[in-house]
Amino acid sequence: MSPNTWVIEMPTQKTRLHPYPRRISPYRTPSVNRNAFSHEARPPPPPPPLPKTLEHPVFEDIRTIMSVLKASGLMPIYEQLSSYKVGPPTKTNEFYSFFVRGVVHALTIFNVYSLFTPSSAQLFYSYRETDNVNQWIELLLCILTYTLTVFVCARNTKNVLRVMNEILQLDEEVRRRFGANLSQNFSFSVKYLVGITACQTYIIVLKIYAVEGVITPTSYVLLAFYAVQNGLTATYIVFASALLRIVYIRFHFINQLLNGYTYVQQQRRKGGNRRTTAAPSLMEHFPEDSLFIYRMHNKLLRIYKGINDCCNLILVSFLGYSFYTVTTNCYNLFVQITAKGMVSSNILQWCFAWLCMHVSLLALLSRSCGLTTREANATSQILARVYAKSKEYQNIIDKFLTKSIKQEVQFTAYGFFAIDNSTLFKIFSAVTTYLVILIQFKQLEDSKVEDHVQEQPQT
Amino acid sequence: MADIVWLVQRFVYLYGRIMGVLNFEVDSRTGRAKFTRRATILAVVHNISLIWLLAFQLLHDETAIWKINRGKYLHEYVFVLVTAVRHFAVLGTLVSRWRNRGKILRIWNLLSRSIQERPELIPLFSRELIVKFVFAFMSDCLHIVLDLNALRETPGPALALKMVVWCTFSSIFDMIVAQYYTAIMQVKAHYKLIKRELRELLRETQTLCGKSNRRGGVFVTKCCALSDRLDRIAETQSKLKALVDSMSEIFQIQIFSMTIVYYLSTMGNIYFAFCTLRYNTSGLAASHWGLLLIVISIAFYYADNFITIFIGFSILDSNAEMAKILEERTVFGGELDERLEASFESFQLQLAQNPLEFYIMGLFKMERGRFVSAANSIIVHSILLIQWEVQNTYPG
Repeated sequence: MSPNTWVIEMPTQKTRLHPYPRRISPYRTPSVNRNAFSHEARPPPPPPPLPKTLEHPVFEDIRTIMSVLKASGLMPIYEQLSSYKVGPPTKTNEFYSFFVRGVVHALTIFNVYSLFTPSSAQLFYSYRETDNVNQWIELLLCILTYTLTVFVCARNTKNVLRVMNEILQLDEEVRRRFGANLSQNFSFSVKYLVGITACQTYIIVLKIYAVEGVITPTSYVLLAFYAVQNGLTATYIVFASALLRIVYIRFHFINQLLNGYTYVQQQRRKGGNRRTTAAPSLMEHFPEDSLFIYRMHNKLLRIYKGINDCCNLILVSFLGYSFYTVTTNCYNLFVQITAKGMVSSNILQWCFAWLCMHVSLLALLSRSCGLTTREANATSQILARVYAKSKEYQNIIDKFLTKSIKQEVQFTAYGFFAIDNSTLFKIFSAVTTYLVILIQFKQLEDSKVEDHVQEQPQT
Repeated sequence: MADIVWLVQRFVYLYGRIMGVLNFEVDSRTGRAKFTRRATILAVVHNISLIWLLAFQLLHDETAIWKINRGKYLHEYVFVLVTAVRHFAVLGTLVSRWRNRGKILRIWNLLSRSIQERPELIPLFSRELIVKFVFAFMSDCLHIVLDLNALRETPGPALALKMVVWCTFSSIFDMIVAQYYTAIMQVKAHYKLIKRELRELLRETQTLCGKSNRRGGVFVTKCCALSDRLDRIAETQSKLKALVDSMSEIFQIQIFSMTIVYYLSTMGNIYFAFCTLRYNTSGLAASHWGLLLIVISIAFYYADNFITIFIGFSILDSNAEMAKILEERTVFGGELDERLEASFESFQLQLAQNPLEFYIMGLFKMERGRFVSAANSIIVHSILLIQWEVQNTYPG
């Protein structure tokens, strides 16, 4: 049923104080709809125009991170069509994004070419063969991750705009119906952005100090591009987490609405207990509100799936790269700590910086996915606690519960594995396994070198 | 497009007959398969000749490295293991084909009839068929070229016999995989069609909900018509699921063999790649063009593998998507006719109670998560082989 449809509530025995048919908002905010049979047919005053800063309450909260992604060509530079709608970018902006992506791909080709030629030899340390192989694989994974991110973002421009429009439309409906503004403080995204920038700068400075001799311009370009690749990939992950938080807030809102109809809340309402965080709702509004909630829930599930589809491949690649980076940095730390010679503080700082950055990104991603998934799956659990007085209400509830059987949603990395709160633990278990393998390789190499040294004096 | 599809299907059918994989005949006009004496005798003669040739080649080949006293390197044993598993997989599959001959024929006729009854299915799978054909064809050809190079023997009858046996076994394996893929691909096309019909039905139901007059006979009649359509869709889904289950049972040995061969081949390829980069100073990998040929061959081989594995996953996704489409039912504003409501509910319960799952010989369920575990296992075992190689061979 459309929210603009007139709903006539006939007065019952319990509402004798209000003889006229009317509609009460569950949040006790004055309804913007006129009373159906009111003789005082005065039109309601128009809502005051919103200040400009509140025009896009959702995406205003993450505008810093979106600006970075727009400038780097990972997000489309969309046009503001209205308060609750964004449109495709203009030709100029599209050309700019295309140009930036072209520069990125050209630099990627240059990067790969440099890796296979002596021009980048200055940047590699040759401890042992195992270490060299590790560095190579890490670099190639980094290049692959960022290149894939750029490709996938270019391909999913329309999908991202569609997801954003769906979120804005949902917010518009909520605001129209309940007058609620669903924004929250997303300062974590700015903090992460600052952290990523600081980390990358620190890592580049360490690398510069570690290089012997005069650094060539090629090395500077490679280092700068390396920082850009890592920084922007990390920024995209923070953006994906922020989008998931936005969806989580909306799921939480509709779950709170539904919670007002649960048996416990209804009992509290009857008992006159006003000390509840969510005001219990009138059961009479359940059919109308349930329709709204179901529609919102379906929309949110579509948005959730839309975000998953946009990020799928990027997440697979990033998680693989992150896993490998964490493993190799733990391995390098182990090598440094157990080294017989002098411990290099440069390498220790390098490893700690990488570990801090990747572990915090993995934690952010896991937590955001876990929160949103749990909230999405909580709706049917809350609905199961709604006690329906009549067959009609029970049918409404049964319709939702039937469709929810064995339909738990998951945020996955291309369907290969689910990303939730347990992902961090699983990654660290895998890191431990591969760390043991790397250490075994190192010990094997060391023993062969010692055997070779011992054989030489004999010959 | 329909002509290209027909041509590709006809080529695959004839190639299957030549390879001895198909032991029945298909009428080119009607598409109907039947047992004929000619097809049966040809297939029997082909299969027996192949087994005899294999035995003859193994017993008389002087360079056969399966003789234990000749093999001294790990990579030789790994090569023998991978080849032996592939040969056994092919032989096992051929035996299974003869045992389940009747059931395979029934499935072939069922799918062929459904395509003829609904020609709108052809555009839904034509692209996938052509892509699979290209990848399989290129993979097979490049595989033969690399095998010829790897043998490095002087041309002669012995080499010709060896190549005939190896190429035939390799092609039979690829044909078996291709036929399974073709069947699953047609099931996927059916799923696409019923999803489309379901969306249309839900759109019409949504329109019906907006009507104000719900007491008239027109409303009830429309609801009944929608209910009939929904029941037909549910029945089609149920039949498709039953077909997929029966295919999984009939082709279980094939699917299991496919899984084992892919697993061992990938593990062997990683190990051989390491050995090639470490030791190879002559041969194809020594030159840039040779290396490029190897890379292209591997790319086509794994592209072929991926599309074969992922088509199963895409059917699981289609099934899940149907459940998602039915969720729209919760936002219907008004109460529908009892019969239509009951049809919706029973379809949803049908999807929930009988989920589509692929089990391989009842041993494990094939899903995306399992794919990641298998990849992890391959990497670990390859590392073990590489570690052994590093530990027990001298540098240089």
